[in-house]
Amino acid sequence: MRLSVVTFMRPDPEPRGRALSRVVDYARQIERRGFPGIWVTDSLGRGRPTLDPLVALGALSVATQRVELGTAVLQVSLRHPIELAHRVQSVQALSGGRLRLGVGSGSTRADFDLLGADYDQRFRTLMRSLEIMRRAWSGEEVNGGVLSPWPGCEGGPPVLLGAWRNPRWIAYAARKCAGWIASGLYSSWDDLETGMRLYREAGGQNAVLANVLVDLSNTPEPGSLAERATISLVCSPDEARVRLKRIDQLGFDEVLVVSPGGALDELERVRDFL
Amino acid sequence: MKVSVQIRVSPGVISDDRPMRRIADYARRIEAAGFPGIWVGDSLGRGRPTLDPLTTLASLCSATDQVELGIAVLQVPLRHPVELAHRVQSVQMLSRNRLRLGVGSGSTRADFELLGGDYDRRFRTLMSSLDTMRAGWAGQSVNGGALSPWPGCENAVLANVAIDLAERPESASLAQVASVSLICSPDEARRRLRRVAGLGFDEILLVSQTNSLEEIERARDFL
Repeated sequence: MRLSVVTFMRPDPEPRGRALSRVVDYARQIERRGFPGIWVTDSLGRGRPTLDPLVALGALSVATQRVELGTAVLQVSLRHPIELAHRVQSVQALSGGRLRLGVGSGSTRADFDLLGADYDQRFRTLMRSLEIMRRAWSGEEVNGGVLSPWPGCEGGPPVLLGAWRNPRWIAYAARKCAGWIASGLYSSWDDLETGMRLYREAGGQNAVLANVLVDLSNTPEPGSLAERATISLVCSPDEARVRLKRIDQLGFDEVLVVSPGGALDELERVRDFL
Repeated sequence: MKVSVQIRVSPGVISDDRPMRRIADYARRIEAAGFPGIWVGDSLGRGRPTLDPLTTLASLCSATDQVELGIAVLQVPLRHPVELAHRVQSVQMLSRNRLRLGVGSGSTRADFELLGGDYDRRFRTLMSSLDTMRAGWAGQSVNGGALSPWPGCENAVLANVAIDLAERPESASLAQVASVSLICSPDEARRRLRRVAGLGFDEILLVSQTNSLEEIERARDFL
């Protein structure tokens, strides 16, 4: 099982202007320490400042050389599919083909409300948007026009679909995508088992468990995501080893871990558990 | 009159799997040569492969330290204003407030048709979108929600919006001169540049199709 790093890009008390170097330094360290990928998340209407994930990966495209750059997951249903396809293609080109595009319907109403998007139609929108984006990346006609593919980017990047345990979506991930992304934030172990069985039955080859929070000192801030996450490594080192083995034995091909404090030493220690 | 460099990002003649290396290298040379800014354009439905301008500038944020990073000009009516405001703010933060956001209504029907945008309403859309984006950057309520401003970016974005309301780029209020205009002898180029300066422009963005920075430096010396 591969182990990659998710970075939550949030403002911190540092003086303004240090944010880029902090983000870039962290990314370079992740690469230097041999993690295979850096992943970013996507939210924008939840009362805290965030960065656009594709803009962030654009910056990391030049700051890093080899690591995969992923989104876990991009809320496709919030955006215009062709304009989004253009931006995705841009990151794919700028990163030299390192982009791994995790996509999802989104599940937070506030993000949809802020953009005036239709929350109730989000699954249908996702399905339709993915089809349009694939056509656009292949240089096929969309809306009577063509988005010219960047040489080397024809067909688009590997697309991984984020899904909980809906059989239809997991089957879609297995048959039409380069991977399935499950989340450690709100899934139960039972969800993961069920999802994995459905995914493998449908022929899926690349199961990824995203957003697994790590805090081996087991001191999450009260009310924080680290405290609330259902599948996490917010626990003692011994317990973390047991949980990680369990994730591995469930059959995940890759796990994406997050350290809320950016402690890469801890993430390396977790990697050594495998 | 300031002389800045506009980059036309297009696929290399030789197939390169890392266009970023080439672009970043050019950007570093521009910065090292003392030009105050690097600018990119915005198009997507015109039969040639292009890169998204905000994504491209994001990549230049970590390739450069001081130069201004500009768009001449971003076609605002093609995009969702709140989502666009979020992206602009992201580049503004990553660039440490070096972003110079040239905005316009767009003038190429093909771009609008590809995205299903309303070409005939583009001026009205630009104005309403700018209002929405300003409200978003200020942390005010839009659509009943709010785009949380990144600390330090609240006003920096707002101060750098240059509006191009002209239908034809050559009459833009934002300094912008097509590259063809200096495709001439050095003597003639000197005359034309002086004429642009004499018109009162504060900044001119020069493009070299072949990324020949030496030529642009030479043009700068004419002033």
